[in-house]
Amino acid sequence: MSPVVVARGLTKSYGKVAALRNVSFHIPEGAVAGLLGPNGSGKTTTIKILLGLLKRDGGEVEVFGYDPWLEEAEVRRRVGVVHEKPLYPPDEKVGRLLRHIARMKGAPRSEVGRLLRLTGLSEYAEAKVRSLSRGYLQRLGIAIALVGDPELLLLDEPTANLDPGARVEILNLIKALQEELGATVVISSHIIPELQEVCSYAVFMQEGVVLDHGGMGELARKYGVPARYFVTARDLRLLASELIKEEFAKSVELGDGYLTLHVEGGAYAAAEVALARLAERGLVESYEIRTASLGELYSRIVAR
Amino acid sequence: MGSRGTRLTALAVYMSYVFNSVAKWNLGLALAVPLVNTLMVVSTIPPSLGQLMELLVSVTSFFYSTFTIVAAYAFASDLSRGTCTVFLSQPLTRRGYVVTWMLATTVVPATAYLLSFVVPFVVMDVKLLASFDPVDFLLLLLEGISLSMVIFLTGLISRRPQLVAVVGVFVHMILFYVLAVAYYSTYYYNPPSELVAFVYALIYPFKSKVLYPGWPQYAGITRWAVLANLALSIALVTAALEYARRIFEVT
Amino acid sequence: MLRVVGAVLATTGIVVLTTLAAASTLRAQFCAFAGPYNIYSFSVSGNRTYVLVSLVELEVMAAEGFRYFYRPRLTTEDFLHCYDPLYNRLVTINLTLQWGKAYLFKLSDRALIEPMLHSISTLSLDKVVEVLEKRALAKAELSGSQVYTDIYGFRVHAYEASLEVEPGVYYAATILAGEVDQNCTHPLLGSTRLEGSVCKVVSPTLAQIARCLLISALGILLLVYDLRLEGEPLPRWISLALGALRRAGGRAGLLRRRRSTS
Repeated sequence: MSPVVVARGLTKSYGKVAALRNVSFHIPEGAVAGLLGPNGSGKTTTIKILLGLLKRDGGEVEVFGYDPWLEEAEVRRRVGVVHEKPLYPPDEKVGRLLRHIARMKGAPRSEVGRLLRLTGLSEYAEAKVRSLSRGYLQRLGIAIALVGDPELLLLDEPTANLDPGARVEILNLIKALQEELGATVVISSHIIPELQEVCSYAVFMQEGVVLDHGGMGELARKYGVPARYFVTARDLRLLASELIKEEFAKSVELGDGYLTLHVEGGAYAAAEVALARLAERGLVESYEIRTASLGELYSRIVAR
Repeated sequence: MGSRGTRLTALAVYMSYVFNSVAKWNLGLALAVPLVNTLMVVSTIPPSLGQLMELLVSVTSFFYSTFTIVAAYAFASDLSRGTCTVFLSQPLTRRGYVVTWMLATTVVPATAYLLSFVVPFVVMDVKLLASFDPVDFLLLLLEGISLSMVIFLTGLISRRPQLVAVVGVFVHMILFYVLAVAYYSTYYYNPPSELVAFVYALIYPFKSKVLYPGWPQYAGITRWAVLANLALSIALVTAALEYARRIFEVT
Repeated sequence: MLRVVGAVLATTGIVVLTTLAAASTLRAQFCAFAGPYNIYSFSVSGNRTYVLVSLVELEVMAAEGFRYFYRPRLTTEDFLHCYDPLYNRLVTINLTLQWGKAYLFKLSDRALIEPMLHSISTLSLDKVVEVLEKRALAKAELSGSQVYTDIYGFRVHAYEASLEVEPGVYYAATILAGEVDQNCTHPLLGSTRLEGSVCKVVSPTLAQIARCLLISALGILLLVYDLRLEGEPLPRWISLALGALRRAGGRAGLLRRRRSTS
């Protein structure tokens, strides 16, 4: 799959403070990529550079093959973004603001109603932005980001400053949207575990440096952290009884139409050999390593 | 829609959004200027109509200046609060954003001012307009645009609304009086200093013509000063556009 | 931009109308206001409005101290370009009177000023009548007298004329006054001459009211058009007004139909 975002040797400083130092990574099309790192690691700067809002000091960056600083409009036409600390015109009505954004992106008027429904803002269409709670402001941000069915979504700390309930709600919304739109998504967060369920790709950052990046399976194998296999089969119960006997299997969970196999770090080879064998016997239809334990992965990568 | 089409659409929509936002402040102009004009015309009997018109322009240009400061203040607030990020995350170029606000701080108040100035005379007696020298208006617009651009650039570079207000009040009000005092003090016993006359006419081509008309020996100087003001305005616009293209970041 | 233009037009029309209406009720105050500029004033006798016109020209030029007292008030470039009171140099005065006759004077010293003033004073009242009639600004029933005023030791010839104008031609009269005057008049000159005259601001005429309403309506139309263009809801007051108009239109239509069927 061709990368949607490519950064090579990216540098950026604010005065004497280096925000990004030789940052290189790429994000493949269709991935849900986590941009992970503590506060001040350069995530927001990276996102703003990808959007052409900040100018890089050095290096190269391409989004859909365009330089975002020079061809900003072309990039932003195809990208939707939720900023870390969004500030919307406080006296504007929610519906009117969305209508303007939709017109700016050349999206049909009907899309505004659809997005209001999708993000649960229908009741607030005539409300002023200043009257919205933080959770609803975040929903508004997501609605704005989704205008024009973007091919790439950049979500900068979309759950920051939200209470746990709203956080789960927003993450579920993002998950549902990705499945519906099939867009590439980049989510930055400093709360690593919350992206566990969402990410298929990760870029780990610290103090303006990319420590590592790659698909979750790839990273899990590389660092030997526990991982989860999502397995589909005709007879999930039979398969579960077969798998649980294996030594590499830490646990097996039955889901709706799939089975999750938890595997210890370092036992991937054994697990995949067993799954291949079961597939030959017709017990397994498909299997995929989907997510590693992001928290563990992060602590290993940072400790390295 | 192609890339260029999207870009132009985004610019047009954003322009309309900003212009409509500033329209409510410009209503202040539409309230104040016709009120002053109508009251002055019906209540005073001036030595001549030409003088009346000059007086009206002088008085009402104060409102015009005030509203250019208000618009520049709103622009700097948009930058300092970060509300600009919402629109700059759409297919709107940085240059498009800057051009939109540049027009909102220069052309929109000028249009609102011109309309609200002219309409009372159209209502009362359109013939009154004939006694008005259009050069006065051109000079006023030139002065308004160059000073607005100074304030606008202050906002663009500093992103501090308070500084914009201070610079606005300084260039529109304080500097004007400082130069007026300098002009007058050099003039009382001797002809005014050429340098002061030039600087005055350069910064305030309209006010220097109306309130402190040039002496014959300075006619050439005044003409050069007006040309210099025009060049200054063009340079300021170019500087703002280049700043937007090369340096302007949305933090 | 349409919305800005529309909003400004709508507001301006209403403001002008309100101000004119208010002015007509506050005319006494304006009269007092107008007093110091008594070169022109208005007097009312029955239904007639009288405009008093004076011609006082060039008196200021000879005045000592003129430089200090008048400078801020003088704005006519022609005049300033030609006159240098500080050094009293040889200068040319190009004073163009509005009815087409230009007077050129050469001044070298004070002695030359007096004949110039005399030549100005040769302007006759007939000329004024001619201008008035040509421009059809008023029925020119003009009566006037030549008066002499001492200004800083110089005798200045001035005209004082009373002319009858139709009610409601206040502004036409103002134009006339502007044309007759030549920018160099003394604001205090002759201030006692018109004492006791009754001033009047004529109430807004029907044409003026119609123009105000027309301009406001045009502004509102532009506003509505722009709002519709952008698919935005109309403000409540516009919706109410349009609803009222529609209802009124409907009622009128109904009446017409009833009349035609009966």
